[in-house]
Amino acid sequence: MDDTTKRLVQRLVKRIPAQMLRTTLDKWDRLTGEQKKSMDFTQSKWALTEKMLDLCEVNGLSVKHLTELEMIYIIDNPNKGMWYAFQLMDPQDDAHSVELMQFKEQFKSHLKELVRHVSIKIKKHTDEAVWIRIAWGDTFARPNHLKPTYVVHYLQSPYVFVTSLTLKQKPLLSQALVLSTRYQAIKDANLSGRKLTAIRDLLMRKYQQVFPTKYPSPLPENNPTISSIETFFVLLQMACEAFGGGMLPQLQSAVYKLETKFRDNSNKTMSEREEPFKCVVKFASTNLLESFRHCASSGIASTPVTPLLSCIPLKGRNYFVITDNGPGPSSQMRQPQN
Amino acid sequence: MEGASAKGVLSHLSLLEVQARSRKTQPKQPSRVQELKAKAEALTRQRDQLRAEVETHKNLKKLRASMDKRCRREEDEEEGMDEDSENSNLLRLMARHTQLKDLLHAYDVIGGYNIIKTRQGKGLCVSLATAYEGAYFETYNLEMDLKPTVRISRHNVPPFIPLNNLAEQSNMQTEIRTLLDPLSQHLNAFAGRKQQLKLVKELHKSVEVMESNVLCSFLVLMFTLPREKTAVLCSLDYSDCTRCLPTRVHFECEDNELPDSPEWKKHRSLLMETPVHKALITMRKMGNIV
Repeated sequence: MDDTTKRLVQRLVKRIPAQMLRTTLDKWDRLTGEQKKSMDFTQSKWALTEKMLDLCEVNGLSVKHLTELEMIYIIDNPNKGMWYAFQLMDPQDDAHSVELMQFKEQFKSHLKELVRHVSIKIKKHTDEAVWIRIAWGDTFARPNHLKPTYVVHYLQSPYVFVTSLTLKQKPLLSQALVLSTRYQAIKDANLSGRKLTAIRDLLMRKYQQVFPTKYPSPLPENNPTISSIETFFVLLQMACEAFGGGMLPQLQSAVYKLETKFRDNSNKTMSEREEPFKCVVKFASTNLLESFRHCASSGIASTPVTPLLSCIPLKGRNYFVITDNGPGPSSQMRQPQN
Repeated sequence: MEGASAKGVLSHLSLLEVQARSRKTQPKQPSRVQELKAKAEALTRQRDQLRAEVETHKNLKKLRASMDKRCRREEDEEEGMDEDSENSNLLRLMARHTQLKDLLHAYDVIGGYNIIKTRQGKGLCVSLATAYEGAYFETYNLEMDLKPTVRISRHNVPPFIPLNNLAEQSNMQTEIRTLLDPLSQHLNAFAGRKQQLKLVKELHKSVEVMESNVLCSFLVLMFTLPREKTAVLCSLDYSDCTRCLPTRVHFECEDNELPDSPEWKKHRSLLMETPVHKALITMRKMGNIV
């Protein structure tokens, strides 16, 4: 068994928690029933690794099969690592009729044209997501299976979700994606998070959004005769309209990069400076949108909800650059946006 | 004295003479007089009727105004007419009838969509319901700003529905239905295709869904032929996203002759014209697929 395979087995056994390993091995279906029975998941990871190495040797399993195992695990547990969202821009006329076979062939052929040695695996999941695993090599080196990039895309939607991509690999992946999806450009969607499901649900609008009802409520400040119960419902309605109802996609952070002129008359030194005051504000939480919603509904945050916060779900992004002219344009990978 | 009375008598006599003469010509007049009398009567009746209508209309307007005010304030008390006469009940019904007619007309003008005003008239929220085969599905909402220009500020339309394109191509600044009608078409067709796929998976477990996508714009099914036990791959392209039926049906089979056989040509037209879950029922009944 070669070194790469060994290291891959070690990495996988180390990474996958013991309980998940059993179910993942079942789905993988490369070990016989007896072999699976012979594995004792209460043993130490080191012992399990040795066992796996033995079984892989016996069954003649190679890197190809092990990458399958990895992919199965990642697809079932996508909320690890850091995921970044990208948006495809300007679809060609045939973009909406790109189907799976065509996409697979095109993506593989385009990426292989750009990178001499690359290992690509594409799998369609039951929820219509297309998962791509890329192990990158170059002119001289074989694909590195220990640091693969994972890409998730829903055909006919403009979003692509990526994890573990280096700066060097970014333009290569972008090119392959743009050409195989029949769009003209791809840009950073300025949305990132640890949970793929959260950023996906936010962009694909898979959470419950709340809209104004038939009976509009006046702002409590303008109406002194309104009761506290009514105030509660008014604030709740406003909060839900801004952030959503029910379970919200679990974002962990929002970052505002400020490049605005310092404004405080009591501090002449700062406010007299020519250059803008650079500052980064970061909000962090286990469930950021839920926190914001609670702030608004409990009256901690002023209502109506400031657009700086409500544009997180509205625009589907959690990274903003604020200049004196308003929020700046998002960064691009190909062409400047109009 | 004699002269005066003589004058009087003479003038009287001449009057009588004129009368006698005119009496001779009178037979021609009665019908004309009667005509005119009849006309006068008719006009009088008409005038009375019009007066009554004007009166009713005035009362109706008053009643309608109070009804409209009541609707706005949403009170349930019966105001206005206290008389319990047949007249006032009838009047109330008539007022209600005009109210409903106006409501229907307004609804027609906005295309039957649920629209509510928001932010003191500065915005709108449109609700688009989707339905297929008598069942309702998702309701999609668009929140819109009206000033300075009409634009969509928030919505929950999924990203694979080309909302931005439809908005650009529409004339929504002047006629909002040029956006809402095509959008409703897209959304309803999507709901229909999605439901068809769901039903295929539920009702036809022997048919395998090989490929589908979030927009439900293409479908690849695998049929098993009962006798030969071979498989037929059926591709359905729904390239017109405003429709629930496919634009192209294609069969692939090991047996190259099969797709061109008359039976399968029938299947092709069946699948082109009938929703897929229903077409499959027919095909299974006919014993052509498992």
